Amino acid sequence: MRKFLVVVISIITVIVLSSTILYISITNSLSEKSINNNVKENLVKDFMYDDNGNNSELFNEIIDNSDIDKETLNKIMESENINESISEIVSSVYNYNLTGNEDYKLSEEVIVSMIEDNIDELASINNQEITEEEKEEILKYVRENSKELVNSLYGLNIGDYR
Amino acid sequence: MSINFRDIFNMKYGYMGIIVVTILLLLIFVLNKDIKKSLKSVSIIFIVVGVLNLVISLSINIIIKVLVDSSYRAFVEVVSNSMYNTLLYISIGLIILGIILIIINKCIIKEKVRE
Repeated sequence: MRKFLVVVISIITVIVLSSTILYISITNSLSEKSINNNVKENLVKDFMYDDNGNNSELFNEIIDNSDIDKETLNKIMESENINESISEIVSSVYNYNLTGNEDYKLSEEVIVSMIEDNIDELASINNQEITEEEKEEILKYVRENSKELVNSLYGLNIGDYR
Repeated sequence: MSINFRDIFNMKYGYMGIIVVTILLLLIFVLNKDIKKSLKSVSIIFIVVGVLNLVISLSINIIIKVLVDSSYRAFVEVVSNSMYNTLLYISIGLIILGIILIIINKCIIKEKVRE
């Protein structure tokens, strides 16, 4: 009888321990710290390259559907400052999608200031000189459409996992 | 209405799981009465769970690579990569712990034979 009980408890322990480990792994992967680190370290790399080191399908789709050439998009994605801003935006979209907490949403002002901070670098990557007037014009357009931009950003169901 | 995934996957439930596992392991020690038998049971449990989770983590990795559309993979991998790594480390840790317990058990048996 005792032996039988030990076997039954052992089987229950295997099931409970396996489930606990699986649950802890999911919990850990959904934590804010983990999401922020993974977005920063992997998202841009995973977005740009596939397993064979070639440009990913999504990357090629963007090239095909826009005026940007491959080299410029590569430079934009590899720029540290732009990468940092994109990571911050994507992390906030992830955190918002995972929790529904409005606090994770970046405000229109923050997004506009991010664009303002990176506009010169974007222009230099494109080998274009941008005058103060042109800069103001772009920022005016961004400010006018910032609400729409924020709405579309947080209306995304990224990853399609929900 | 959105679901708060961080409420569903909360570490406090993970700690509760660990407490339940600890109680079950203690129960095995109490029922076995013999330290050698208990160590053997616990080491087998650790190795079985380790191998099981190793298989699960590898399956997750393969399923995501095969099934998830490459356009979405970059986004899905933000969550799955971290989950895969945690599962992998815990599984390897459990297998090593199980092997250590088997070695300790064998040492105890040898010591008893000498006596």
